[in-house]
Amino acid sequence: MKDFIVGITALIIGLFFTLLSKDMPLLITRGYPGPSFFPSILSIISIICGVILILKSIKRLKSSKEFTSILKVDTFIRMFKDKEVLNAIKFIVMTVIYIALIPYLGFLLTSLIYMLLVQVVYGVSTFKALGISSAMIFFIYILFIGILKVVVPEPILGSIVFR
Amino acid sequence: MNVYDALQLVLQPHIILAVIIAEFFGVFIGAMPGLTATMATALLVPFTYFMDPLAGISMIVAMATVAIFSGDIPAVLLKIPGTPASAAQTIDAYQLGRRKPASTLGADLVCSALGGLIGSLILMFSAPALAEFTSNFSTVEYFWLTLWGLSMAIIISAEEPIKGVLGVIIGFLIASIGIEPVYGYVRFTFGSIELLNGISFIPAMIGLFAIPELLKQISRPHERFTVQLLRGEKVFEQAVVALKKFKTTITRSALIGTFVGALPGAGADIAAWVSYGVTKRVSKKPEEFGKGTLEGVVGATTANNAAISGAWIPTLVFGIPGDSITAIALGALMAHGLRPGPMLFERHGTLVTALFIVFILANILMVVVGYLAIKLSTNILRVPRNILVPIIAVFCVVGSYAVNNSIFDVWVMLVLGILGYFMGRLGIPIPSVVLAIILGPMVEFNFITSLIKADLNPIIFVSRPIAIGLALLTVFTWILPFLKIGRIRRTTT
Repeated sequence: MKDFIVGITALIIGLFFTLLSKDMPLLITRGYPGPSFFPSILSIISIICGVILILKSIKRLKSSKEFTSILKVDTFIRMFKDKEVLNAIKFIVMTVIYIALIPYLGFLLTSLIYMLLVQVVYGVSTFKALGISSAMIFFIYILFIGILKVVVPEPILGSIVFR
Repeated sequence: MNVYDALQLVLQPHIILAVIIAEFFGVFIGAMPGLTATMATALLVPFTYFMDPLAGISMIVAMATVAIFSGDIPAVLLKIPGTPASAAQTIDAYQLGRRKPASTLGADLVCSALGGLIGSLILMFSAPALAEFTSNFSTVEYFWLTLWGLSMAIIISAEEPIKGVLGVIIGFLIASIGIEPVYGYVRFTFGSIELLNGISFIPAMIGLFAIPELLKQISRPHERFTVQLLRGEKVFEQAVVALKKFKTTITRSALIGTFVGALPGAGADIAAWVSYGVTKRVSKKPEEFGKGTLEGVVGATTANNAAISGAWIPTLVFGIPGDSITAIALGALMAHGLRPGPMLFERHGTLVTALFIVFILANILMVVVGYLAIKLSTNILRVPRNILVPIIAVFCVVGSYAVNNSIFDVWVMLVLGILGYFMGRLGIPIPSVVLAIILGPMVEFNFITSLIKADLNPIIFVSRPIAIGLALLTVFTWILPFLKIGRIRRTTT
């Protein structure tokens, strides 16, 4: 199943970059390799690898029960119902929201809320999470902003809200 | 080599302080199962931009040195390797540690330090000589060298070479975003101004190495470990036994570790497996391996720390990273205006010598920091995942942002991190992707420039003796899988 997915992905990557490279010259003056020379070679290798992997996985699974399940939607639904994958997806969603909010609320405030929220969602008690998050923000402020002079994103609303 | 000037550079309070802080950071990350030394390096690098070059690079060296040792702590106390480099000796270390955990860790610490010291000495003497040898290399030799580096990454780091090839292709394509290196043509930017300069290296490294680890950890947020408790034993008791009984094993393992570490794409984990295998083969009691033998632990742990120094040989001499840690460190060197290669030794000789001294210093200080880590190990291992992960995620964000003060880089980090997580689940090796991001543009530049120089005559690629040698080496690497030599990892695991 894994090989089948990797094969399909390789095929898509290869075709995608072949299409993108079409607008660039493969060879330029006097036949020197142009800017799309390497990407085109890589795309072709990717397509070949993809086909090999798909054929290999089909050959391997042909006689087994797994073959019939490859194209079933159930397999994908089951994959997304897997608790480990769900936990990872929850974390990704929270991180996307966190990064999206940084320009509006600033780095420190957003980070405080993010750390607090993630800890609570994954089972840490609210008071403990608040204590840890506040302590970490203080530490980050002293170390990165105070000592290392790292520039962190400031909010659009202005530094009166938070840095 | 002006050792006196270099010593003066190193023995400044802020450099020593930087080394000690980095070692404590390395202890913590290395000891946490699942968090790797590579991830720690990726997190550390953005902050080294704000320091002077020696302090910044010293932190990376010291952190990686200690993190590799520290990965043995959960191996002994939990039977879980803290980093992949500790996997080879985990069973022996755990079995041995059931009787005397602190003392096993003590032996581990001393042998790691010795391995690191021997590796550092080899680095110190071989790198300048190699740099002098390579000073006459042209684009042709560099083309073969970089192609060989990529080929090694495919053969060694992937369980299936075809997935290694895919990893390299993905890395190569990521690196081809932005302005093309020979003609200045804009590629794959989709009209984005931010992508004109290509994908920023450090956010990409943080994304590819740190985010997948965090996602793996948060997938099982409530996982608890049963930690083996330390008893009131002498920490260095087994170390004395190891030094008396296994002098040859230590020396041999350090040499193996340095050599394997110097191979592009190999790294500390493969060095440990190879050395463990050789130690077992030449041992008088091979039947004791896997049942808690000190000899097995010594063989693997000495090699993995020696490999850390070994990996810096091709990094400094050719600009080709020996492992994923040096791949990231390469970005830090470049950021400080230090371009690896023969000219680095000519122009910044004192700084390079100072760096060698830092390697030695880091390994010596590791004994002190490691001793404290052994004493505190049970507490380090009890930090819950659901507290640690969001904190590290915030560090990833600030690190990615700090490089160019750009929120776009933070998005790059996250997108590549998610990509890395799924690639990891599908068996595509991340180190191959990273090596291709670094070496891809070099392969392309050297290939096209050589052809232009020779007016499209392909004979140029085999026109010089060293180029022929490197070409043969590359072709030999391609046929390795068929000879089944390249499948070291699979057979040993």
